[in-house]
Amino acid sequence: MKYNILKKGSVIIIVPEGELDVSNVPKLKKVFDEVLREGHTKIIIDLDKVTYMDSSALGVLVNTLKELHKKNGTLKIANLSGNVERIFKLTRLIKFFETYPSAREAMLSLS
Amino acid sequence: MKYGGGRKKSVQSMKIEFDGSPELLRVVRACISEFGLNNGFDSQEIYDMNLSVNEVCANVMEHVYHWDSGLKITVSIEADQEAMTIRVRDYGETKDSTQFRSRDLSKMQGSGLGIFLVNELMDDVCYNKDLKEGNEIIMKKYHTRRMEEPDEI
Repeated sequence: MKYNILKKGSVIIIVPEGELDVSNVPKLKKVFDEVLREGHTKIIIDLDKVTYMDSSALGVLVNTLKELHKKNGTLKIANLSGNVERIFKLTRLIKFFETYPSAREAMLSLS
Repeated sequence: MKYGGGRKKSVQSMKIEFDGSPELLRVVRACISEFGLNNGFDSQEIYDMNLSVNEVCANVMEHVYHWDSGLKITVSIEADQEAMTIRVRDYGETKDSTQFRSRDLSKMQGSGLGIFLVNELMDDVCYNKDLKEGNEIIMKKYHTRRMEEPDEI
Protein backbone atom coordinates (compact mmCIF):
# COMPACT_ATOMS: atom_id res chain seq x y z
CA MET A 1 0.00 0.00 0.00
CA LYS A 2 1.23 3.45 -0.89
CA TYR A 3 0.05 6.53 0.95
CA ASN A 4 0.61 10.25 1.03
CA ILE A 5 0.27 12.52 4.04
CA LEU A 6 -0.63 16.15 3.42
CA LYS A 7 -0.61 18.88 6.06
CA LYS A 8 -2.93 21.84 5.48
CA GLY A 9 -2.77 24.13 8.46
CA SER A 10 -3.88 22.10 11.47
CA VAL A 11 -5.49 19.44 9.30
CA ILE A 12 -3.81 16.18 8.26
CA ILE A 13 -5.00 14.45 5.10
CA ILE A 14 -4.03 10.81 4.68
CA VAL A 15 -4.32 9.48 1.13
CA PRO A 16 -3.84 5.71 0.87
CA GLU A 17 -3.70 4.05 -2.50
CA GLY A 18 -4.67 0.57 -3.66
CA GLU A 19 -6.06 -2.28 -1.59
CA LEU A 20 -6.35 -2.07 2.20
CA ASP A 21 -6.35 -5.52 3.71
CA VAL A 22 -4.95 -7.47 6.66
CA SER A 23 -1.49 -7.57 5.03
CA ASN A 24 -0.98 -3.81 5.01
CA VAL A 25 -3.34 -2.58 7.73
CA PRO A 26 -0.49 -2.55 10.31
CA LYS A 27 1.15 0.08 8.09
CA LEU A 28 -2.05 2.16 8.02
CA LYS A 29 -2.36 1.84 11.79
CA LYS A 30 1.23 3.01 12.18
CA VAL A 31 0.47 6.10 10.07
CA PHE A 32 -2.53 6.99 12.26
CA ASP A 33 -0.58 6.27 15.46
CA GLU A 34 2.21 8.63 14.40
CA VAL A 35 -0.23 11.40 13.46
CA LEU A 36 -2.02 11.04 16.81
CA ARG A 37 1.28 10.96 18.69
CA GLU A 38 2.21 14.25 17.06
CA GLY A 39 -0.92 15.71 18.62
CA HIS A 40 -3.06 16.16 15.53
CA THR A 41 -6.80 15.94 16.14
CA LYS A 42 -8.26 16.99 12.78
CA ILE A 43 -7.72 14.18 10.30
CA ILE A 44 -9.19 13.42 6.89
CA ILE A 45 -8.74 10.10 5.14
CA ASP A 46 -9.19 10.42 1.40
CA LEU A 47 -10.30 7.09 -0.07
CA ASP A 48 -10.33 8.21 -3.69
CA LYS A 49 -7.56 5.80 -4.67
CA VAL A 50 -8.63 2.89 -2.46
CA THR A 51 -10.10 0.07 -4.53
CA TYR A 52 -10.66 -2.49 -1.81
CA MET A 53 -11.06 -2.47 1.96
CA ASP A 54 -11.57 -5.35 4.36
CA SER A 55 -12.82 -5.46 7.95
CA SER A 56 -9.35 -5.05 9.43
CA ALA A 57 -9.05 -1.66 7.71
CA LEU A 58 -12.52 -0.70 8.93
CA GLY A 59 -11.38 -1.64 12.43
CA VAL A 60 -8.39 0.72 12.24
CA LEU A 61 -10.64 3.61 11.17
CA VAL A 62 -13.13 2.90 13.97
CA ASN A 63 -10.41 2.67 16.62
CA THR A 64 -8.79 5.88 15.36
CA LEU A 65 -12.13 7.70 15.47
CA LYS A 66 -12.64 6.50 19.06
CA GLU A 67 -9.19 7.80 20.04
CA LEU A 68 -9.91 11.15 18.41
CA HIS A 69 -13.28 11.46 20.16
CA LYS A 70 -11.45 11.17 23.48
CA LYS A 71 -9.38 14.21 22.43
CA ASN A 72 -12.35 16.14 21.03
CA GLY A 73 -10.94 15.50 17.60
CA THR A 74 -12.42 14.07 14.43
CA LEU A 75 -11.71 11.72 11.53
CA LYS A 76 -13.59 12.60 8.35
CA ILE A 77 -13.80 10.50 5.21
CA ALA A 78 -13.53 11.93 1.71
CA ASN A 79 -14.34 10.27 -1.60
CA LEU A 80 -16.16 7.28 -0.21
CA SER A 81 -17.71 5.50 -3.18
CA GLY A 82 -18.48 2.24 -4.94
CA ASN A 83 -18.03 -1.07 -3.17
CA VAL A 84 -16.07 0.52 -0.31
CA GLU A 85 -19.01 2.82 0.45
CA ARG A 86 -21.36 -0.18 0.24
CA ILE A 87 -19.33 -1.97 2.93
CA PHE A 88 -19.53 1.09 5.20
CA LYS A 89 -23.30 1.13 4.76
CA LEU A 90 -23.68 -2.62 5.18
CA THR A 91 -21.81 -2.57 8.50
CA ARG A 92 -23.75 0.57 9.59
CA LEU A 93 -20.39 2.25 10.27
CA ILE A 94 -21.42 5.03 7.92
CA LYS A 95 -23.49 6.61 10.69
CA PHE A 96 -20.43 7.12 12.90
CA PHE A 97 -18.33 8.94 10.29
CA GLU A 98 -18.76 12.29 8.58
CA THR A 99 -18.30 11.73 4.86
CA TYR A 100 -17.67 14.25 2.09
CA PRO A 101 -17.56 13.97 -1.69
CA SER A 102 -14.06 15.44 -1.81
CA ALA A 103 -11.09 16.22 0.44
CA ARG A 104 -11.64 19.92 -0.27
CA GLU A 105 -15.18 19.81 1.13
CA ALA A 106 -13.97 17.88 4.16
CA MET A 107 -11.32 20.57 4.64
CA LEU A 108 -13.91 23.36 4.41
CA SER A 109 -15.99 21.67 7.12
CA LEU A 110 -13.00 21.93 9.47
CA SER A 111 -12.20 25.56 8.84
CA MET B 1 -22.18 -13.90 -21.72
CA LYS B 2 -21.77 -16.31 -24.61
CA TYR B 3 -19.41 -19.21 -24.69
CA GLY B 4 -17.83 -19.68 -28.10
CA GLY B 5 -18.31 -22.52 -30.54
CA GLY B 6 -21.71 -23.53 -29.20
CA ARG B 7 -20.03 -25.65 -26.54
CA LYS B 8 -22.12 -26.59 -23.57
CA LYS B 9 -20.93 -24.68 -20.49
CA SER B 10 -19.89 -27.26 -17.93
CA VAL B 11 -18.93 -27.03 -14.29
CA GLN B 12 -15.59 -25.37 -13.78
CA SER B 13 -13.46 -25.83 -10.70
CA MET B 14 -10.22 -24.56 -9.26
CA LYS B 15 -8.22 -25.23 -6.12
CA ILE B 16 -5.70 -22.90 -4.50
CA GLU B 17 -3.49 -24.13 -1.68
CA PHE B 18 -1.40 -21.41 -0.11
CA ASP B 19 0.63 -20.57 2.99
CA GLY B 20 -1.41 -18.76 5.61
CA SER B 21 0.37 -15.50 4.93
CA PRO B 22 -1.64 -12.24 4.67
CA GLU B 23 0.51 -11.12 1.73
CA LEU B 24 -0.90 -13.97 -0.38
CA LEU B 25 -4.52 -12.87 0.03
CA ARG B 26 -4.06 -10.42 -2.83
CA VAL B 27 -3.05 -13.31 -5.09
CA VAL B 28 -6.05 -15.39 -3.98
CA ARG B 29 -8.38 -12.47 -4.72
CA ALA B 30 -6.87 -12.06 -8.18
CA CYS B 31 -7.52 -15.76 -8.91
CA ILE B 32 -11.13 -15.51 -7.72
CA SER B 33 -11.66 -12.38 -9.81
CA GLU B 34 -10.47 -14.07 -13.00
CA PHE B 35 -12.45 -17.21 -12.25
CA GLY B 36 -15.57 -15.18 -11.49
CA LEU B 37 -15.27 -13.13 -14.68
CA ASN B 38 -14.74 -16.29 -16.69
CA ASN B 39 -17.98 -17.66 -15.26
CA GLY B 40 -20.16 -14.63 -15.91
CA PHE B 41 -20.24 -12.95 -12.51
CA ASP B 42 -20.38 -9.16 -12.40
CA SER B 43 -17.93 -6.89 -10.60
CA GLN B 44 -20.07 -6.48 -7.48
CA GLU B 45 -20.62 -10.22 -7.10
CA ILE B 46 -16.89 -10.77 -7.52
CA TYR B 47 -16.14 -8.08 -4.93
CA ASP B 48 -18.50 -9.79 -2.49
CA MET B 49 -16.92 -13.20 -3.02
CA ASN B 50 -13.42 -11.78 -2.73
CA LEU B 51 -14.18 -9.94 0.48
CA SER B 52 -15.88 -13.01 1.97
CA VAL B 53 -12.95 -15.31 1.18
CA ASN B 54 -10.57 -12.62 2.45
CA GLU B 55 -12.46 -12.37 5.76
CA VAL B 56 -12.61 -16.13 6.28
CA CYS B 57 -8.90 -16.58 5.48
CA ALA B 58 -7.93 -13.65 7.73
CA ASN B 59 -9.93 -15.24 10.57
CA VAL B 60 -8.11 -18.54 10.01
CA MET B 61 -4.74 -16.79 10.05
CA GLU B 62 -5.50 -14.94 13.26
CA HIS B 63 -7.71 -17.24 15.31
CA VAL B 64 -6.75 -20.74 14.11
CA TYR B 65 -3.13 -20.39 12.96
CA HIS B 66 -2.21 -17.49 15.29
CA TRP B 67 -0.27 -15.85 12.43
CA ASP B 68 1.90 -18.95 11.76
CA SER B 69 2.30 -18.38 8.02
CA GLY B 70 3.79 -21.83 7.43
CA LEU B 71 0.39 -23.51 7.77
CA LYS B 72 -1.74 -24.17 4.71
CA ILE B 73 -5.16 -22.91 3.67
CA THR B 74 -7.06 -24.44 0.76
CA VAL B 75 -9.64 -22.50 -1.23
CA SER B 76 -11.71 -24.68 -3.57
CA ILE B 77 -14.05 -23.05 -6.07
CA GLU B 78 -16.68 -24.53 -8.30
CA ALA B 79 -18.95 -22.65 -10.67
CA ASP B 80 -21.90 -23.73 -12.74
CA GLN B 81 -24.69 -21.81 -14.45
CA GLU B 82 -26.49 -21.34 -11.16
CA ALA B 83 -23.86 -20.33 -8.63
CA MET B 84 -20.30 -20.26 -7.44
CA THR B 85 -19.46 -22.42 -4.43
CA ILE B 86 -16.36 -21.60 -2.43
CA ARG B 87 -14.87 -23.78 0.28
CA VAL B 88 -12.18 -22.48 2.62
CA ARG B 89 -10.40 -25.25 4.51
CA ASP B 90 -7.84 -25.04 7.27
CA TYR B 91 -5.97 -27.77 9.15
CA GLY B 92 -5.72 -26.28 12.63
CA GLU B 93 -7.68 -26.69 15.83
CA THR B 94 -11.35 -27.37 15.18
CA LYS B 95 -13.52 -24.44 16.22
CA ASP B 96 -17.13 -24.56 17.38
CA SER B 97 -18.94 -22.69 14.62
CA THR B 98 -21.89 -22.01 16.91
CA GLN B 99 -19.59 -19.70 18.86
CA PHE B 100 -18.92 -17.45 15.85
CA ARG B 101 -20.63 -14.16 16.57
CA SER B 102 -21.20 -11.02 14.58
CA ARG B 103 -20.86 -7.79 16.44
CA ASP B 104 -23.69 -5.54 17.66
CA LEU B 105 -24.13 -3.11 14.76
CA SER B 106 -25.62 -0.42 16.97
CA LYS B 107 -22.25 0.07 18.64
CA MET B 108 -19.16 1.61 17.15
CA GLN B 109 -16.91 -1.44 17.19
CA GLY B 110 -14.23 -2.40 14.75
CA SER B 111 -14.04 -6.08 15.65
CA GLY B 112 -16.37 -8.92 14.75
CA LEU B 113 -17.18 -7.49 11.34
CA GLY B 114 -15.72 -10.34 9.29
CA ILE B 115 -18.35 -12.98 10.05
CA PHE B 116 -21.09 -10.38 9.71
CA LEU B 117 -19.85 -9.41 6.23
CA VAL B 118 -19.58 -13.03 5.07
CA ASN B 119 -23.18 -13.71 6.12
CA GLU B 120 -24.38 -10.53 4.43
CA LEU B 121 -22.44 -10.82 1.19
CA MET B 122 -22.90 -14.52 0.43
CA ASP B 123 -26.24 -16.21 -0.28
CA ASP B 124 -25.57 -19.43 1.62
CA VAL B 125 -23.02 -20.01 4.37
CA CYS B 126 -22.54 -23.29 6.24
CA TYR B 127 -19.83 -25.24 8.06
CA ASN B 128 -18.63 -28.76 7.31
CA LYS B 129 -19.16 -30.65 10.56
CA ASP B 130 -17.86 -34.00 9.29
CA LEU B 131 -14.16 -33.19 9.47
CA LYS B 132 -11.78 -35.08 11.75
CA GLU B 133 -9.43 -32.12 11.89
CA GLY B 134 -9.52 -28.45 11.00
CA ASN B 135 -12.41 -26.36 9.76
CA GLU B 136 -14.21 -25.79 6.50
CA ILE B 137 -16.69 -23.09 5.62
CA ILE B 138 -18.81 -23.48 2.49
CA MET B 139 -20.17 -20.33 0.87
CA LYS B 140 -22.39 -19.95 -2.16
CA LYS B 141 -23.10 -16.96 -4.39
CA TYR B 142 -25.89 -17.24 -6.94
CA HIS B 143 -25.85 -15.43 -10.25
CA THR B 144 -28.10 -12.38 -10.09
CA ARG B 145 -28.18 -12.39 -13.86
CA ARG B 146 -28.74 -15.72 -15.51
CA MET B 147 -26.11 -16.47 -18.10
CA GLU B 148 -27.30 -16.54 -21.66
CA GLU B 149 -27.86 -20.04 -22.95
CA PRO B 150 -25.06 -21.15 -25.28
CA ASP B 151 -25.78 -21.34 -28.98
CA GLU B 152 -26.72 -24.73 -30.30
CA ILE B 153 -24.61 -26.07 -33.15
